[in-house]
Amino acid sequence: MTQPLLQVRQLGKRFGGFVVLDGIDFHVQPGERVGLIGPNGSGKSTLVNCLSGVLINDLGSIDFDGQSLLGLPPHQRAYRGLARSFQIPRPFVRMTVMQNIRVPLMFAAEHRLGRSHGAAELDELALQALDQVGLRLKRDDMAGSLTQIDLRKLELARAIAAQPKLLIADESMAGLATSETDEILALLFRLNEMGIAVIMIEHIMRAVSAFSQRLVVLAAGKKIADGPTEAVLRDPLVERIYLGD
Amino acid sequence: MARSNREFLLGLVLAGLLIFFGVKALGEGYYLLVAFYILQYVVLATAWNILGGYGGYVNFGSACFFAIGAYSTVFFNKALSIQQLKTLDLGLFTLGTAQLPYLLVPGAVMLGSLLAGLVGLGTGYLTLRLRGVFFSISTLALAVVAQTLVLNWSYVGGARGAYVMKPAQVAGFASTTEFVFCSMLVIALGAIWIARTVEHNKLGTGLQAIRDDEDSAECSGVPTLRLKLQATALSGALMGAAGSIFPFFVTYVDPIGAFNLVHTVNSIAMPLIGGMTHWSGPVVGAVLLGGVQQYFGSKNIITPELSLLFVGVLMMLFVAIAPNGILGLWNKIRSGSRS
Repeated sequence: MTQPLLQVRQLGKRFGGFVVLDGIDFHVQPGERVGLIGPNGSGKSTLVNCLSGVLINDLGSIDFDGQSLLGLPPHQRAYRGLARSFQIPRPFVRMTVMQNIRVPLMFAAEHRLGRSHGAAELDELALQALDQVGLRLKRDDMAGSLTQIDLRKLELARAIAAQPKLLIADESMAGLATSETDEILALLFRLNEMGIAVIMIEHIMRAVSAFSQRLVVLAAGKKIADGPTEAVLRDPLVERIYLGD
Repeated sequence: MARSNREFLLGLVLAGLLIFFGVKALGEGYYLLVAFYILQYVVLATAWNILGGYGGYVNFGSACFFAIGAYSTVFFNKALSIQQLKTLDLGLFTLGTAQLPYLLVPGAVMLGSLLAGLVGLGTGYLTLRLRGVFFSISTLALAVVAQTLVLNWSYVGGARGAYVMKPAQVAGFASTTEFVFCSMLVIALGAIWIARTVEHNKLGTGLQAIRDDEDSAECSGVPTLRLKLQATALSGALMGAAGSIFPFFVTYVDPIGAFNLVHTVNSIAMPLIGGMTHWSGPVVGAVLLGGVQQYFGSKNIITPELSLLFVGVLMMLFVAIAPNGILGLWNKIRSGSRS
């Protein structure tokens, strides 16, 4: 077995007296597709925030690509190849679509590259990222004026532009129509084929089960299952807690 | 980019020459005074806009940074006994009375901006972990603390204030006032150049991302704290540069004048009215608002207090009706007529 890309050990997080995450262990292999599911309030978003550095975990360790992420601010984690999208799209609303993509290119990608992109190179890379999600034609639109599906795509394009090794897609499909869900799903598959490992956090079971090679299930801050998708979905405990009796 | 940079620089130099000789042609005195104040506000507004307009962090301490510049000039004038200095032997050549200002005024500007920049960096380090409105409140507190310190520091005049003598003459200029005016002109053009450069470089892009969504910016790899610190230091330094020239022009500095609320209010109002997303916004705002204030002030139509009230009402109007300022309105009209 190769060394995992992401290795989380005994992760714990509490807000005051409320334990949100309790002894979470899990890993992601390079290029793997992992689904993270769990009922509302089970700690999925907190886990994502601890991984990306928006929140600091109280206990446990997070190793990424062989290095500890403890104490690193989010931008340092982005430099190392960890990208995320936000559950509620958070674009830079007063910039155009193209300018939105330039931000991760000029910061995360350039840092890893060790030099600045030229202006032409920057445009080229930004358009490539927009092509990935099919937003090329809207490149000059203000991000604040995009529709919900386009905002989701922009969110993913911005994550891709950082050229990550691991993408955490936090409910990229919530609130979308079925055809739109399929579009995002196809997009995530394409990214994965490029070698990017993906953690998909999702409530739409059809999408998660189609996408994930492995499922991790959280309930009330604890990991209750972790294994091949089929097996986990048949697990009686998961069925009872997550899918209902 | 390199070519447009050269053209922009050329434009700035031409604008500078035009302003200088235009004001000179109008005759010294009143117009020089008006132009000086407008230029001072061009610097303050442009400096404020680097952090406030691009980065979205509202600084209520403009007057404080301005005063740090002004008082650094007062302090070093006194500490180095510059008033008594008649000649300065530099080994290779000797500076006479008429040449000394060429050393003293730029020296004062450098010291003033360095000090204000350091204070900006220090305050930033302490407060920029605070987001949004909490940062603004702490800058307000900074101004109060600094003013209290100066009020109780008799070496720089305390509440009485302090005099700074103008150099008696300056080689190549008709008067010292003209030389000081020219210095402010150079600083103003420099500030515009810096603001435009920042707008197009990595710092500006990062600041704009921070303004729109700080968490999102961090996750895209923007080192938010570092960029905010750079912006605060740069913005503070430019305000300090404007302040350091001020004593040479008015020859008398007191805490009430240096820490005046008008500096703070104007440096926020001018970018707001002109437009905060482009370097030209603060310039437009400073020229319009500064010009109107000077005009009405000179005709004794409104007192400075009334003028402040006027600025306040204007700010509310713009926030409500045209949040993107005059530039935003202009862009809207242009795109409207095109479609």
